[in-house]
Amino acid sequence: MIRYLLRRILHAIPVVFGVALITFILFHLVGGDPVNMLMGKHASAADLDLVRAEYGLDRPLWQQFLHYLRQICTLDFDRSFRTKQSIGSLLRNGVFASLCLAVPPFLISSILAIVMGMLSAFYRNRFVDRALVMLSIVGLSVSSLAIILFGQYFLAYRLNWFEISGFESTFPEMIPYLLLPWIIWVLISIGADVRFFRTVFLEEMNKDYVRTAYAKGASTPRVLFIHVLRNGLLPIITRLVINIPFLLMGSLLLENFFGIPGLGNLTVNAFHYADWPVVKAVTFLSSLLYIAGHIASDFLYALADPRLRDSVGP
Amino acid sequence: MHWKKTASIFAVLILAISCDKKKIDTSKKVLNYSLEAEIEGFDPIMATDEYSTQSVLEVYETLLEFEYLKRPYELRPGLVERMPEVSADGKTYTFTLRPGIFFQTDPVFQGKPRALVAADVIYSFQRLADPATKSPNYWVFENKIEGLDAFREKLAGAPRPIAYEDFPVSGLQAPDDRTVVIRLTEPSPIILYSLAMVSTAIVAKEVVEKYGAEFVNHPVGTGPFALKEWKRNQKITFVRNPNYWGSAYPTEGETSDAGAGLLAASGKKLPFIDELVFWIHVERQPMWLNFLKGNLDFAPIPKEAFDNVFDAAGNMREDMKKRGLRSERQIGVDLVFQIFNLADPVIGKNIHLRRAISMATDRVEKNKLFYNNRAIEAMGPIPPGIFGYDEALKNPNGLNLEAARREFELAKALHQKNFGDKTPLKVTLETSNNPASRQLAEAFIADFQRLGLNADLQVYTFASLGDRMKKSQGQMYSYAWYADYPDAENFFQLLYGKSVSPGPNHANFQNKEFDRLFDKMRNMPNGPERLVVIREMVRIFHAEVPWNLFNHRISVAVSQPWLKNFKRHNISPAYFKYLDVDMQEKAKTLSRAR
Repeated sequence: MIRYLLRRILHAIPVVFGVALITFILFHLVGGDPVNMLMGKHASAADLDLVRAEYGLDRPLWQQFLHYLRQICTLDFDRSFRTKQSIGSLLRNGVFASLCLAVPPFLISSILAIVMGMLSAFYRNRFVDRALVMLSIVGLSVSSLAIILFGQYFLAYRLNWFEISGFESTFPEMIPYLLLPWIIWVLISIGADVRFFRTVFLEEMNKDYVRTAYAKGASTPRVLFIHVLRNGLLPIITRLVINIPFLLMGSLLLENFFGIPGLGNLTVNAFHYADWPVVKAVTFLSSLLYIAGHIASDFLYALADPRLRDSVGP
Repeated sequence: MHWKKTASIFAVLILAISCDKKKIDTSKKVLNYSLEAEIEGFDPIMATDEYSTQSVLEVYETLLEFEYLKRPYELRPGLVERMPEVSADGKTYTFTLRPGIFFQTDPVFQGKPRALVAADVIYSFQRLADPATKSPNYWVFENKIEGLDAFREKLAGAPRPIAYEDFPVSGLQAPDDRTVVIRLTEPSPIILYSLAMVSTAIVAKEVVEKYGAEFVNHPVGTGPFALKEWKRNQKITFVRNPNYWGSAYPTEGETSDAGAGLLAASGKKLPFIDELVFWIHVERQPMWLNFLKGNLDFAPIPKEAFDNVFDAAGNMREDMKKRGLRSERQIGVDLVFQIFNLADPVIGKNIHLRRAISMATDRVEKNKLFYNNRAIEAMGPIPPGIFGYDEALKNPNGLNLEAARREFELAKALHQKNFGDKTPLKVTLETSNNPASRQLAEAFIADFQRLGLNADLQVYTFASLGDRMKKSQGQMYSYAWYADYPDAENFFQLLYGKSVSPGPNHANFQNKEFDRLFDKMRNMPNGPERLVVIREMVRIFHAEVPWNLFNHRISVAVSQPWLKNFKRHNISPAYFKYLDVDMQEKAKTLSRAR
């Protein structure tokens, strides 16, 4: 198993290299000139050349790419062109806020969706199923922006139940600020998950082992939560693990509306202002997260299914 | 049923935490305000946007500053005792620093008070010119101070570390601790505006050297406030600087200011508030809701909320009046326009095409649709509030569909003559990818297409659009210019022949007579002679049509009843030291509302 994991990590190296290369090419094709952004509206050609030289941006592209690779190896991305902050501190702060925003609702919505998906499958074509499917479709259909605007206006402003926006980095002071974004996150994400898990469990429930379990006298909860859930674990793991990178990078709207200083906002601003050091760091981080997500899902597959564990060797 | 009980307790606890309403602390005066974006840090020479300027100038100060209440905008002494003495040739400015100005306390001063001296001014200006700092703001001194450009050239690529004292600048002298002499390359009254800009704020050498790259996070200035805490992308908290020398609230303003209660605090020592908090709200809804809830003391009105505050006649609605809200309206010292890139052969060689486009543009309709009529049609390149603005001027290339069609016919003929059938007559407008810019540009395109012109829109990221303009790659660009200082020169330099792309003249407009007049006017004091020159430059502008003029924006803000002395300043956004908050009134008003 350890050898398998090491092999997967080694396989990740060329992937990181490929992502770095693609990022580098794309940024140089369409990203805009970071020096133009940095030096502003009044800069003369001489000023631009001077600063380009100071940052090494006048060197041949292959040399600049090698510099990027060196930064990846040393994990030193220097400082943001725009805010002059060290990239390390920007990422640390952003990751913490993003995780505070994303992890609790992710866990809650995942557990709720699994339970609701199973209930929906168990009560197929009955009232519970129809109600859950309808609610899921409503959740899927209403735009996340509308839910955010509505939640912030009515629940926070009109009813005064929550803070309108803000963030505290200490516990439990952060809870009043995060409650509403958490609720909205759950509302936004749960619909699609319920539909997906319902399909997974429906498929499992029609299998022979379920009938056998019932025939052996197993109770319904035991059949559902031991047999069906265990056998449906692989697609569940795939779906949940693949979402993990989005926990850090994919909550831009919630961050912006609720004033949460996470990575989503940092990433968008970096592209907007052609802040090349930050772009390099966040693309590297996101590629690492994706790769880590895939490795984690493979690892969990192996744990969940002994046949897979055996096939990957010692 | 056990789980139901647990869930209920949990829900009640969560709601109790979330609904725990904070009592307003009236023991200290706290002012809350909202910024729309993260700042660029606290290094004065790196600040380029409004929010960074606002933040930096709470901590740092400049030699001169703008009068808070007077309009048109006027300078007054800041760190200096009085306005400078100017030599007979108009090239030497002598400043005397106020006595008893100290930097904020910082460990770098080892517990000793650190007085501001003339050497700090020289150091700060040299630092701005040092190419190693990569400041985007050197243009404020470029070609202006004797020997400073040469200093910059000498330092480019020179081995570091460098002591600025080893590279003296003939135009920057400190004969004693309180005297600064600035010698200019040519007479230029505009230099005084530079000395009120954020990039020329005075820093202490030992602080810069001690903190190095982290200086951006460790502001130590002489200003009214000191940085207490900066939570990135979230909020910035300042506290009153106990060492502040204490400038006084102005005793003069516009005629209407006394009636508005703006002179009630005349002569009182600044600042009035103990703590200043800048919240960062990237989206407008949370900013606006926080204002309505009383969490912010004043706020600009978002376009979407405008109709909730004012009725169709422009009067404040009753429910807003009941809250005691007050509105404040300012015409921006700005210009929104489209640049014709004259280096593009299709646009550049066809004056009739530029006229036709300008005459087909319905500015009044766009102001109504996109600005809630909070903008005035631009008739020339100079905005209101600046010397040279002509209230009676009409844009000769303003909306006139009949004339536009005539011009378009001439444009087609000229294009045929210039290019034959090889190049189709087509115009592309380029704009940035934010939804508001895009929608506005689409409406402009519809105007151009009314003529039968083959016009389309290309959308770029903010960075890419800037890049294309610097490289002169497009035909027409959406653009806006906010005055760096209140002088016509700041707008005309966008058309100066020596500043073509990648300089700020993205129209690549080159007109010898215009350039000659520009060289003349920029060194003239305001007066009838300068006005004649400015009028002639505006005439050339209208004859050549390098821009398609659009509007000057009006910003409307609302303030809470407990905020005192509130009058926004369009040129210098760091006016918080003049503001006051009546915390008792705030507590009373909010307790009633809640």
